[in-house]
Amino acid sequence: MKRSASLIIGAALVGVVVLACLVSLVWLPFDPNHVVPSARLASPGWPHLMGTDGLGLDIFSRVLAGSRICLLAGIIAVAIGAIIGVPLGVAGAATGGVWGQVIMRAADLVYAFPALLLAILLAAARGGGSVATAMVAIGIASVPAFIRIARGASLQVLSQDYVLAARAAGTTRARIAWSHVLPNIAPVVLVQSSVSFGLAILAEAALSYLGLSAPATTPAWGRMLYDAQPYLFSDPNLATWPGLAIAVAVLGFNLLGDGLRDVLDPTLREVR
Amino acid sequence: MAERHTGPSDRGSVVPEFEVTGLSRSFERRGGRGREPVHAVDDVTLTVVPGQRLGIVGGSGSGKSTLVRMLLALLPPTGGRIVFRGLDITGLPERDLGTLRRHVQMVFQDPRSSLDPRMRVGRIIGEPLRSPILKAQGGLPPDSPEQTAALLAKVGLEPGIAARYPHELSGGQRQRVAIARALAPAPSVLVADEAVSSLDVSVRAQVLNLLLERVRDDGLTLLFVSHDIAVVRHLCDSVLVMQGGRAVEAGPIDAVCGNPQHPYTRVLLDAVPTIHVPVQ
Amino acid sequence: MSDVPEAVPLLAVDGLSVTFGRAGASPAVRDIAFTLSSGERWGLIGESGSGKSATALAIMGLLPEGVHVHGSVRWRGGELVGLGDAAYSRLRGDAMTMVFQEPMTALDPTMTVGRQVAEVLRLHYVRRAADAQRYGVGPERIRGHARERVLGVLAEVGLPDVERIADSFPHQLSGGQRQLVLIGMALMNSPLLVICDEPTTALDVTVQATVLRLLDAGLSAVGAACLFISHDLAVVSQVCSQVMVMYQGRIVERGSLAQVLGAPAHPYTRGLVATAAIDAVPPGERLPVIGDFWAGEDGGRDG
Repeated sequence: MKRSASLIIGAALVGVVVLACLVSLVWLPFDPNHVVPSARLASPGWPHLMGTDGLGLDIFSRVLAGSRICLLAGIIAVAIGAIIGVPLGVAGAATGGVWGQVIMRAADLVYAFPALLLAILLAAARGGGSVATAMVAIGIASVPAFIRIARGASLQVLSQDYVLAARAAGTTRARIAWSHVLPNIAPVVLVQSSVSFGLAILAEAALSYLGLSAPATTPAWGRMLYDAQPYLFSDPNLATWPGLAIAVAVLGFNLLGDGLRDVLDPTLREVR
Repeated sequence: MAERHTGPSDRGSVVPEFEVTGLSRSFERRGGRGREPVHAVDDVTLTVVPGQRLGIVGGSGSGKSTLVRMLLALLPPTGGRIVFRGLDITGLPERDLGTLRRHVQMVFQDPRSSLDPRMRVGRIIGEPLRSPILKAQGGLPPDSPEQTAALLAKVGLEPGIAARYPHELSGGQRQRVAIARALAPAPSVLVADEAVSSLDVSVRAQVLNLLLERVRDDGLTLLFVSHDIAVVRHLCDSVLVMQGGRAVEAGPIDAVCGNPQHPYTRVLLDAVPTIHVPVQ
Repeated sequence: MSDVPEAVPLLAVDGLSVTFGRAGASPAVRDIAFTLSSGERWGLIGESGSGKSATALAIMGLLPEGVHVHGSVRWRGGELVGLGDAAYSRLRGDAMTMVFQEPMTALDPTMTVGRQVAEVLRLHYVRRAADAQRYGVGPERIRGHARERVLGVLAEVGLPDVERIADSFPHQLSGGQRQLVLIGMALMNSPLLVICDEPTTALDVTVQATVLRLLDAGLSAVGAACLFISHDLAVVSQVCSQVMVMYQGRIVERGSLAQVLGAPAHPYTRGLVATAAIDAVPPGERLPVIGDFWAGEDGGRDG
C-alpha cells in the first residue's frame, strides 16, 4: 500500500480529537460548567492550562469536552448523509430514466439550501434550536454530496463488463447493486465521508456560534467562540483555543479524506 | 465432422437456438453537425442451430458486439425480432428471460473488466448459480465449494484459485475464470465476445484449446465474435462477416475462406498476420 | 548518422536490471545486455510480465520514481542511467521517440490533433534553435509554417483527409487513425531510434496490417532504428529483421529473424514460434502451447 503524508498527518490530527473525546468521557481537570468568579480570565498556567474564560470556566476542560459535540455532529451528519444519499445515488444510477432525473433534481434542490438555512428553518419549526435540530440539518445538507458521489461512482461501475456479465448470468438489479456496485464504490464513499465529516464540524461550530445548536451549558467549540467575543481584543486567549481545536479537527478530516483518496484510488484502477 | 450451417434443410428437423430476423440497432450520435442516426446493426438475419459453431467476424464498429449483446438481451434492439428456442424474446422484461439466461452464457473480451475486482474467484464463478432467475428454471447445480472446484478443474485451474482475487491472476488465468463462470449453469450456448483478443499469442493458444475442448466435450453451441478471421477459422464451422452493421457474407467457414465473395472478407483474410521471414 | 563513429553503437544496454517496489523484490528485468546500431530494427518479444515494457521504459527514462534501475544504458556512448530529467527530455521526442500501446491515453483529449502535433514540432524546433543557434528563424516564423508541417506529418503516415484530421479531437478518430497520428509524431523530428511498445495490440487485424505497413514505410523514409516490442512474433516479423526473445526478465535468445524462426535454439522460443502459427494447425485441432516445448523455470504454466 502506498504511503501518503496526508493520510498520516490527517489520521494523527483526527486521532488527537478522538483521544480528547475519550479522555473527556472519563476525566476532566475541572467541571466545565463550574463557575468560579474569583478565577475569571486567568492566563494559561497552572492549574488552568489554557486559562479561564469570562465566567471563570476552565478552558482546557471545555475544549476537551467540546470534542464530544464536534464528533457527534460529524458522526450523525455523515450517517444521515450516507444512509440517505448512497442508496439514492446508486438507485439514481441504476434506474436511469425519469427516476434518476427526479433524484438528481431533488438533490440539486437540497443543495441550494445551506446547512445554516436548513437549521434555522428546522429550529423555527421545532420552536427553538437544539443539538438535535442542528445535526439533522447538517446531515440533510450533506445528503446531496453523497448522492452525487455515489451516483457518479455507480455509473462508472455499471459501465464495467462484470455488471454485464452479472446480468447475463441472470443476476437481478438489486443484487447487482448490493454485491457489485456497493463494494466497488465503498472507497469513494469513505473518502466523501471524511470530507463531509470535516464540513459537518465546521457547520456545527457555526451553528453553535449563532446559538442554534448546543445550549450554553453544553461545552461546544463554536459556542466558546461566541462567548469569547467580548474579550476578543483584551483576552484573545479565549478564542484561540477553541478556534485551534476547530482548525485541527477540520484539517484532520480533510487531510484524512485526501489521504484515503490517494491510497484507495489505485486499487480502484488495476493492480498489476 | 458434420458440416452444420445456416441452411434451410436444418430448420425443419431441429428447433434452432436462435432465429434472428431483420435485427437492427441504431442510436443518435450528437456530433458537431446536429444529430445523426448511426446504425450499429442494420437488418441482420441469421439462424443458429444446436451444435453450430458460428463465428461472427468484422472490424471494430462493424456491429458484431452489438449484435451478440442484443441476442443476450443485454441491449434492446430498435428493430427486428429475436426468437430463442421458439420463444420471441424481443423486448421481454428481465423476469421473463429465464430460459435465455439459463441456457446462454457469455465470455467477454477483457477479463480485467469482466471480473469484479472486489470479489474472490469462488464467488465470481458461483454468481450464475445464485441467480433467482436461473434457479427458477430448475436443473441448476448447487453453489458449493465442490462445484466451484469442479468448474475450476474444467478450465484447467487449481482449486486454490477460488480464494484469490482477480488481480492476483495472470491474463490467461482470468479468462479461464470468466469461462468457468459462463460454464457454471451448464448452458447449451456459449457466446464469446473477442474472448482471446486481449491475450498474448502464446496464452491465446491455451484458451482456444480450452474453448474447443469444452465446446466439444459439453456439446455446446458456440457464437464466437472476433476481428481475427484466422482464429474463427480454427474454431468455427460457419461464419458471418459483418461490416458497418450489415452482414455482408455468411456460410460454411471453408467456403467463405476458400472462396470469399465479398471484398471485405478478402480484406480480413489478407490482414491475418503471418510470420514473414525476410529474404536475406 | 554520419557524425557517429562506426565503433560506437547507437544504443548499448549492459547489465541492465529493473526492480519495482522495495529493494530485494524480484527484478522485472535481470541483467540484460544488447546493442542496437543505426538503422537496425530489433524485435523484442515476450509474454506479458516478461519485462519487455520495463526495458523500454528504462531506456526512455520513463520509469516512475522509486523503481530501481541498475546497469548501463549508453546512447551514442553517453550514459543515460541516472541522467537528469531535463537532459533526458532533450533526447525524448527528438532523437529517441516512443509509440505506446494505447493511442487514446497518449493524446490529450482536450486538444485538436493538429495542435498537439504542432506543439511537439514547435517545442523541439524552438529548443533546437536556442540550443544550436544555427536556425536563422525565430519561433514566430516556425509558427507560421506549423500548419503546413502538421498536415505534411499527417500525410506522411498515410492518413487520408489530413485537414479534417488535424481539426479533430482524439475521440473523433478511430483507434488506427490515432495510432497513425502518434507514429507521425514519433517520426516527424527524424529520430535516430523509435521504440514501439505493442503499438498494434489494441487494434483490429485489418487496422494492424495498415499501421504496420505505414510504420515500416515511415521508418525506412527516416532511416531510424527501431526497437519493436510485442508478444506476437508474426507482428514483429512484419517490421523487424532481428529479434530478441525475453523470458522472465532475461533475454534467452537473439539473432536474425530467419535464424530465430528457422532454428530456434531455446525451447521457449520453439514454443513461441509454434503458438504463433495458428494457420499451420488444421482447424479444430489442438494448438501447440509453450508448455509442449518448455516446462519453464517455475513449472511454466501461465494457466
